[in-house]
Amino acid sequence: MPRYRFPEPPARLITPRALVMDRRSVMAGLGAAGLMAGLPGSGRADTLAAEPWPGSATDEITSHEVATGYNNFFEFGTAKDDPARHAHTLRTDPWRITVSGHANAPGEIGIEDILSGFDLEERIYRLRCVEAWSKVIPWIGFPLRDLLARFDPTSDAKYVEFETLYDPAQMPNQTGDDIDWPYREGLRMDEAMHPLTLLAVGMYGEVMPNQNGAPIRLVVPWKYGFKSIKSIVGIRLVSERPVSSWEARAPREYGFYANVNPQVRHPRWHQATERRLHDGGRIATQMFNGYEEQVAHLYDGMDLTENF
Amino acid sequence: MRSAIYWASALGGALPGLWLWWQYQTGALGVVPDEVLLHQTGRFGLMFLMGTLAVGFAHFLTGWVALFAARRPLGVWTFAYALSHALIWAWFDQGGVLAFMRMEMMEMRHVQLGLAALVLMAPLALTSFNAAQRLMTLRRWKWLHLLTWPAAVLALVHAWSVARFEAPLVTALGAALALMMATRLFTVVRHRAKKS
Repeated sequence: MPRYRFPEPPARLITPRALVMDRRSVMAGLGAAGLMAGLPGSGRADTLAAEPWPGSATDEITSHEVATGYNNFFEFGTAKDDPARHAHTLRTDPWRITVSGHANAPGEIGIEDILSGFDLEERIYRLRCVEAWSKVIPWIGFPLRDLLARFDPTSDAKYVEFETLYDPAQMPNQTGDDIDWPYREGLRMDEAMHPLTLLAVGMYGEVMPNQNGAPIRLVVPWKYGFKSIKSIVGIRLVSERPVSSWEARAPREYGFYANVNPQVRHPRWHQATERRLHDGGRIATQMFNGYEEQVAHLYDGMDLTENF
Repeated sequence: MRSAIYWASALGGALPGLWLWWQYQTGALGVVPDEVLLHQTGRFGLMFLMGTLAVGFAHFLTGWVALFAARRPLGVWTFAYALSHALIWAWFDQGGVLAFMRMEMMEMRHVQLGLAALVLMAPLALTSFNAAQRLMTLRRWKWLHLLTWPAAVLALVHAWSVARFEAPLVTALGAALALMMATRLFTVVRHRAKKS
């Protein structure tokens, strides 16, 4: 039975998208001119300029409301609306990422240098959660390999390990033991250097909302969402394969690779279909989340059932 | 003449559903409302099932016979919430696509457990009329309704297998079910001993 819908406004009352976007560019211009500093409640300009990326997915984009209101970010609670309700306590400025391990030039980089030092692109990626739901999100970011290049990894760097901020004062659920905090994730070096692997600093034309992993997060579109670690403060170049947080918690259920694969089921549910939020209905899940052509070669000769 | 306990449980059982429906219509269920509908109807079904069994337990503790008037209405509401849970799963979660539903039924243990519980409860719901009791004889009707116990076990394992962080609640309900089952067996044994 159809759900009652409130009457939609007539077309003449809806502000054309171009005008909305134009307002954003005005605001961005104000920010660039330093005028935003005089406006109340505006620390950093809330918009980000980015070049459109030609490889973007053509799927219908998930609404901003759902993308920012239905999240797994257990540092703020385990319910889907917990991050939106509680992530305001996260302080993203100042913010620094420490890059350490097998690199010729290890060091730190501040978020302001990241925002000004890399060419930002708007990339529309599908995001498939291991819980069998998916979204389509216009991220703003740049390839992880561009950042890694600044620190000049050595040939001993076989894997990259990432770490989220640990601060229970800002991330209240870190007082619980759902995860062995801080959250950790990892990629093989060739996965990290893949041009699809993104460090995202924004979405929907704006700086990253706190509940989506502000100020900077990973996005690996062919892997389940939990690989795309949020609010990164540490990157280590290592020679041994790191253990991801979910892998440590439930090794039978969550593997290191976590590639989207409709043929390999989770012990408690199959992965052949997904709910496209909201409400694209239930659709068939694609191998490598539809990025098979670009990434399948990374796993040539590997048993993907064994290495799930 | 029906008792106040009967009417309170027969009418009160609608309240959680009405409350949920109201929230759904007013957009108060968040950005993915279908999922909240699915989870909440499942929880209501489970809680009503435990409540139905708790009537016998409360009688065991208090000896208050009038309480039994609540049992049938609570049982019928259990089935109503469980059935709406299954229909919401079929229509919203699976998008009404039969091929997807079949795949979930073949491959997913929690779907099998939930459907099995629903199937066990169906004959109980269908015989919820006084006429059915008379036609079957009360003795057989009571035997049939012992199916509530395996249905409760299946429903709890179903809930446990989908619980991510709510496992403590499900574990507590499991302990409560074990306790109620033990007292039920105790009363049966005591009753038999008195008879012989």
